Amino acid sequence: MRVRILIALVTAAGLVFGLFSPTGAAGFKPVINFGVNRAAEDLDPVTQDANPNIWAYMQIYQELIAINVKGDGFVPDLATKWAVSPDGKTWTFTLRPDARFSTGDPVTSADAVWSLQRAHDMDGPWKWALESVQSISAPDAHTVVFTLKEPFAPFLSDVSLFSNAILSEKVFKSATHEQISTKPIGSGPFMLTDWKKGEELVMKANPYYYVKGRPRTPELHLRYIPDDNNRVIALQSGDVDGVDYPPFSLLSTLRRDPRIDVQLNPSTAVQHVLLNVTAAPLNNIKVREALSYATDRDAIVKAVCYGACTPATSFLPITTPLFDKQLKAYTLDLTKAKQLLQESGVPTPITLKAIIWSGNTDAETATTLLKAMWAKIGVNLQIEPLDRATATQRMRALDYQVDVSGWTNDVPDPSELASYEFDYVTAKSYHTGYKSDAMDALINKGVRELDLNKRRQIYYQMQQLAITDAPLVWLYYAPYTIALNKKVSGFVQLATGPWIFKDVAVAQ
Amino acid sequence: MLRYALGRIGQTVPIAFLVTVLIFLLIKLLPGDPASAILGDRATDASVAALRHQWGLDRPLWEQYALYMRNLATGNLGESLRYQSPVTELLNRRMPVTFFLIVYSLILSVLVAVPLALLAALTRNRWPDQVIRALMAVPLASPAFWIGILFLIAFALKLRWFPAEGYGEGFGDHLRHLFLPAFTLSYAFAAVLSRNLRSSLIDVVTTTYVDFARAKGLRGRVVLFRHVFRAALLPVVTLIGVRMSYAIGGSVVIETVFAIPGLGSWMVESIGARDYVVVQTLTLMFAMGAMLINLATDLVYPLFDPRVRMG
Repeated sequence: MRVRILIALVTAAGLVFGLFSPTGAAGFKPVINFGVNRAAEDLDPVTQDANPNIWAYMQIYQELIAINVKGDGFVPDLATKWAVSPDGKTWTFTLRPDARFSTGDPVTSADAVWSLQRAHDMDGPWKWALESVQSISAPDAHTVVFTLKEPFAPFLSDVSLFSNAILSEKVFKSATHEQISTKPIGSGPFMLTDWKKGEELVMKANPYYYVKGRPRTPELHLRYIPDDNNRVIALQSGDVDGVDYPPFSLLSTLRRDPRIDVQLNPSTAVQHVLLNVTAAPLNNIKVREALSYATDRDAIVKAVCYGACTPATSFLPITTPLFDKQLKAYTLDLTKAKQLLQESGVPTPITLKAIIWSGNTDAETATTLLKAMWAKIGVNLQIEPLDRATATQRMRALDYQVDVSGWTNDVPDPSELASYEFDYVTAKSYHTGYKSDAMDALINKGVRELDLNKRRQIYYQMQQLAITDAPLVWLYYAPYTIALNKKVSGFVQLATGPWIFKDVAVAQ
Repeated sequence: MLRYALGRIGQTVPIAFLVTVLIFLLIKLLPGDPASAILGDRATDASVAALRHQWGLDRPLWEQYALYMRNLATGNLGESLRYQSPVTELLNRRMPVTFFLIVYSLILSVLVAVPLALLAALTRNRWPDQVIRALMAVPLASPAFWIGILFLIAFALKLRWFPAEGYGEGFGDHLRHLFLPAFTLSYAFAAVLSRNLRSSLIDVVTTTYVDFARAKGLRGRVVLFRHVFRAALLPVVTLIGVRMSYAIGGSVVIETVFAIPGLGSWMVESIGARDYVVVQTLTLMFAMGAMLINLATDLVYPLFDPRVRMG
């Protein structure tokens, strides 16, 4: 009996101390340790295009509106309401009054105007996102007004882009670029407290975050563990609570581990093969069609993703709004492929060179399979592994024939990828050199048509035309892989990629 | 002795200069451009050109080299292109990690190799010697990155004796965190070291001066440690010197496998990102490190072998 009382007393004391301790709720760990496969390098929202940077600063910064989890719509963030004028040219956002930066200063419309103007003016990878904007103004402390050059259908999704994060004007107005890159200050759930570059980012809860009781865990460590095997072992041995990108090849092993939870999260990823259409023989549309018909997407999905991916039909990722589910896509048809190759007039065997990033095992596997598949129709694919910097430079210079690569959407709208992939002016049509007047007309109409049904038809036509012209071979749609300790709850990953840690708790 | 030391030190100066020229040219010869590597696939051509200009990459090569040398002379190692932070700041954090790892692995190798070599030499051609020799052939045939993963699975995942990654905080934590990587690094070297030390011990045991020492009536242990062991260490010192330089290279692989924030893993990433500034500095540091170790080996010789002092 006495022993029981003692136990009860000890438990009660534990609970009391647990409840009042400044380091997290009782029964939960005060720190989330999350292992990532690439290190963040620069946290300026406007100038960076690599996911590890973006996903890290998205814990710190907020936009006016945020993309929903499914990646096909919006939820309020710093703005609680938004409205568009009848002529479609004036957008008005109402800011929430209770949002504050981690310095304690309130988030005002002046901060928003300053940040958005900076994003608008800076010549970076996201300049397109505010290209439709004529001017940005703040009629009062909680209202932001955009005036557009003309009505622009994807405007709302472009405003939700991470590069349009709201920074503190007071802190950054006269800051150096280095300060913006290395010492972010935002109004989101976390604030950066220590950054050991190439090792880990240490974040603590922003005490002024407007959602009470969030984040649930007071500290977040994003730890850089580049080796896939080691990252998974670190999770299994309890060094970290979760990891991103466990490789497909290790998923079945992880599923057998009773302590581990494996997530395959819907993503906006599409893997594809770029074809340089500016030179023979890939300037011949029949050769490109033949390659598309000779590609066995099911076999690639099986070998690369161990069945976890979906064969690609359209150029758009499957989760993109206006994705055409009825599209008549390429399927494996060797007879047709051989026939097309014969009609093309290009004598076989054709030799093509593929560049891939060395160390990217998924691309290596896919390319090796393509080599075997295309050999069946008389195409000899030679594989040239290059390091990332060289491969990127050769792709940009159109100094290649075949390049195995991938894409993820950043906004819940098809217009971003449409213009990157098929508009020559934007990016030489994804550096394939493809040019088509019909496609250009569709791209232009697509961003100006405000009627959803008409807009849908435009993007359906575009997806069909892409199949006809075949400047790329679309391979598969991959999910994001995540592995977590079962003690972790509340983890969310958006279809556009970023993790949300504010609701995460890790049981002791 | 002083002349010998000064001569050796003097020789390193022109070599160091040559190294800087070589490093500079080699890096420029690499295909791939840092501006497009850092800005990524979606950057515009204009922003790539602007960044190249900002970094001076559009200037003539000799001008870039002159600038590099001038900065080097004033101790300005520049800013990492990737992290927008001074290289010295990152270096201060990462250099001790790699130094710790290499010294740790060396100590572990010696702790394993010396007793085994002694035992093998003393029981030459009998069963303990043969078992040791056979066992030591295994590490020579297994690559470090693979052994590293096996150690991880055994000691970090199954037994949970050691953490799987990182460096930790504080000396005790470092010892724990770096044990597996240091052991992986030392594993193959312990084998080489013990085999070499064994044969060198056997060579010395059969020399006439050892016979003489025995004939003088010295006790076995005194002969072994004062006469045999000291002489036998000479080739081993060379081996350790060579190995230290080699361990700098080995750390590149091991640090990546174990996610250790040292110079090796930093080097790999910086090459991938074409972070010229960091690659230049690190290559120079590695080259200087190798040269200093060589120099130290040369300077240590006379302590073991009086004949070197004359030369």
